[in-house]
Amino acid sequence: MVARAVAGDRGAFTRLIEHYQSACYGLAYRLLGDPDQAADAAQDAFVHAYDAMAKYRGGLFRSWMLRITANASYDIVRRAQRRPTTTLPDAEEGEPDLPDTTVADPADEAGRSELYRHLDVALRHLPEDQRTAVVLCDVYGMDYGEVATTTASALGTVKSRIHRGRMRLRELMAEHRELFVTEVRLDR
Amino acid sequence: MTMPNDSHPRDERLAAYADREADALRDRALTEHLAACARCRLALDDLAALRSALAELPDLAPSRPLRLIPPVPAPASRDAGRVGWLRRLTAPVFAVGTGLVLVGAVGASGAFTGFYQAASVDAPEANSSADLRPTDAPPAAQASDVEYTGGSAAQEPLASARVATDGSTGRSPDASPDDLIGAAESPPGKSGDPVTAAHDSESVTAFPGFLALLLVGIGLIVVAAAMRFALQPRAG
Repeated sequence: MVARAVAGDRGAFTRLIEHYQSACYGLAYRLLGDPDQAADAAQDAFVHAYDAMAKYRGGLFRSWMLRITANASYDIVRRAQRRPTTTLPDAEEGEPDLPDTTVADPADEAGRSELYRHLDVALRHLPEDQRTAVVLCDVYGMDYGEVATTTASALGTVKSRIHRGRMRLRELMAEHRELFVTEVRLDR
Repeated sequence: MTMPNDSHPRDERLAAYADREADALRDRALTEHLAACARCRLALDDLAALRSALAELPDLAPSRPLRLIPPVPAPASRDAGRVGWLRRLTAPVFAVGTGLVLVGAVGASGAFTGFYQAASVDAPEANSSADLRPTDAPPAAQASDVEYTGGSAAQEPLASARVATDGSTGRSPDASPDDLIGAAESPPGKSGDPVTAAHDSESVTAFPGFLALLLVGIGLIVVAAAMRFALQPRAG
């Protein structure tokens, strides 16, 4: 499928993007905190990916798409910083606006779903640089080097941001320790 | 490397241990501290639980339908190409047509004006000759003389014009050599002037040519406009 998309098959590219659009949108949403901006960033990423498809040199397509999405999200952040009228919504106010997940949410997984929801809210309480580093590394699986490249930061800076972000998340999630019981206990 | 039990490792060292970095795992002081310090172990456990949960965060459905692929610009470019091709084809026709119209209009009006002025310059002479006639004659008679019998002076411009139309020099066949010399010395524009007569002749012969240019130019403009109208793409 990827090879056909690289060869210029628009149908193959469309199916690839259909498959990864939720991952791209999710990353953009977690970086930007705004559904409309996230949709814009994802769509920009699709256009950039289409234009750059001929230059794709293998590797995990998902990682390649996520890097493009992260860059598109960064572009939107930079534009917003030049026009600082847009602010990220407050986590408590924004909580009801969290988009539905694509994963099925059966009743026996209600606790897990609740955990994910609180984690998303806690992520939005992090400072932007820490949130970006933690999301790219811990949520989307980039290594430190990839995060450093994407955010144009030094490796040591990235490590520090990730660690401080995790420690801050730990504090924010302390009141929801019971949600980790079915996963990994925070208080064992 | 020893570490007192009441001195906790720095966050960076704890993070390195949590990331299973080799130098942190080989740090005996750090590992001994973690073995003895419940607080630091708890922090490590929390971090591990957090990372596990973060890695499992699900993807999110877009808040609105996204366009997955840029639209194909081909139909728009076909129309644009057709319009461009049409303009490239008709623009030179328009330009040539406009040029011909301008040349034809200027030339034809010049030729016509030259001919008309030559005819009208002689007319006042006829009138002035008529004015020299005796003043005691009744006005009606003077007018009659000017119009019908007022003498050869009044008829000369018409005769001159007729001769010029025939391409002659404007002299009557029986003109004497003295008359010719006198005519050559007279100012231009006078009746019977060979230069004026030649000019009149050129004007008259050039007029149909300029008129033809004008008509051809108009025709070209009409053709180019019709082509644009007939071939341009239309909505729907």
